[in-house]
Amino acid sequence: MVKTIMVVDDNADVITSIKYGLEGITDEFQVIGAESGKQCLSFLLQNKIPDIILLDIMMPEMNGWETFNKLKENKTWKKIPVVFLTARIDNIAKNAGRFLGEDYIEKPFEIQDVKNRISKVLEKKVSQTS
Amino acid sequence: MDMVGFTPAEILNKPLFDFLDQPSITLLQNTLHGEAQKQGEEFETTLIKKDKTRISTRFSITPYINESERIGTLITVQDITTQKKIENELQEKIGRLQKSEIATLNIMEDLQGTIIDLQKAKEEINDKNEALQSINEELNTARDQLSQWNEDLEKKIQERTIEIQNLLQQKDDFINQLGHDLKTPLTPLNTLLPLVKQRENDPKIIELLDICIGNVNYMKNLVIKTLELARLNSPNTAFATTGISLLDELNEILQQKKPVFIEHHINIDNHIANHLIVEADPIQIKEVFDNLIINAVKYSKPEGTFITIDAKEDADNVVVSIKDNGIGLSRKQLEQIFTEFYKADQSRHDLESTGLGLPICKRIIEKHGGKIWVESPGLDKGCTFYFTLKKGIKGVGHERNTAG
Repeated sequence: MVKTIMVVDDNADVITSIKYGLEGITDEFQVIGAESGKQCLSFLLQNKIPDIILLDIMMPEMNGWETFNKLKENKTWKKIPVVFLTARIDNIAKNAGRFLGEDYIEKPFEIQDVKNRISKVLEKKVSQTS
Repeated sequence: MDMVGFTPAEILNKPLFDFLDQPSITLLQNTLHGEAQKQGEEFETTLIKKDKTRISTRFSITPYINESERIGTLITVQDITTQKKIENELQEKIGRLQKSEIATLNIMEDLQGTIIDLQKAKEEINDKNEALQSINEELNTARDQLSQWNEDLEKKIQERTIEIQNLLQQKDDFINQLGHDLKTPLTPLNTLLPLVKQRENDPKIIELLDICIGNVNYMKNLVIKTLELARLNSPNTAFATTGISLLDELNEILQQKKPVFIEHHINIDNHIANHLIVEADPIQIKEVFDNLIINAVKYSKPEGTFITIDAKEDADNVVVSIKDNGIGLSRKQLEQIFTEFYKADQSRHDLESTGLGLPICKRIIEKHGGKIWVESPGLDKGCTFYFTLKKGIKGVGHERNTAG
């Protein structure tokens, strides 16, 4: 079954990279994009929820942390696994206490790594729910 | 008669002058012919004794006057030797007293002189004291000024230190910002170029795409390594060390690099003992192994290279050596090799080397409190990298600040 990956990043080129990158090496995933936290939340309100969200941290208006908090406030959305996308690992380190256990991918990434990370998180999700 | 030692018979009827010496005779004659005729007189003179010695005598001349005419003269001779002797002694004593008085006076004079000298000296001392006091005051003023200057200087140094720290912080912030800003646009290039290459069939275009991909990779490495070095240089980053097995960390890297070793015909000869525990951050130590081993591979000879890895221990430290028989290093290269952005071959457009790998190793090892160095007998003769780490106890760790 094809899994839906949601990429939230204010840089549309990053979304395109992940979309074509993942679709180029596997047909397991379908990638949908949102260019802001707000767009992500309004998409979730109207559509079926994705299997995983890749979330950029440094975004204008509503940053990754704020978006993450909104997701965790919602009964349904809080079950969606989130993997942070960041160019600044020091940001992750700074907030590691608050977001312990959340995975992250460092930019610039190798697409194969992104695929492996997603697969790992999804496997974990399956083993937790079952 | 006893006085002169004669018997009465011997002096009877003898003139008095017979018993006197010439000065006494003259004196007596003068006296008898003078006023003494009327009034009497006394004088002292010497008398010659029978044995020819002389004695001191007093002559008292008393005229006998009858109706204002002299009818005779009585001369009484008295022995005054004892009296004289006493007088002489007295005189002598007086003389001595006088002498001692003079001596005393002299001493007094000397003393007075000395007192005057002392007073002068005292005055001089007073003068000098005053001068000293004024010098002291000047010194005190100078000292106060100096301590003021010192304070000012210290303040300035503190201000400068804060300024420098701020500048360093700004530099770190700038490098971080620039690095991360470069990472985001690199992401699509890094992901999409290989995709484009995959879908391309024209070998000419594939060749051009490979050039692009190589350069993107290089840029990506440069950004990552620069950020890493900036992070290691920052005084604010802390890291945790723990007692880890040196061999375990090395084996992880050797496993990872296996394909590279096969590709470049590299033989690895690993002598590291199983029991060696070092106190280190495992991620950073793997980074050091990675950099040094890849470095040896990069500068291997086309026909293949042996890389020998070993570790010796002393009381406190473990010295790790990574020896290769590759292209070696010149004297100049040995000096420069740990300098940031230094490349052994400056003219080569080397997309493999950022010139930051060894500076990163140096920084990591120094932050662990160790040393890193390289030795090479010369070009074409291979080289050996050494680094030291503190021995540890497995699983026992410490928080460390990277400052220093």
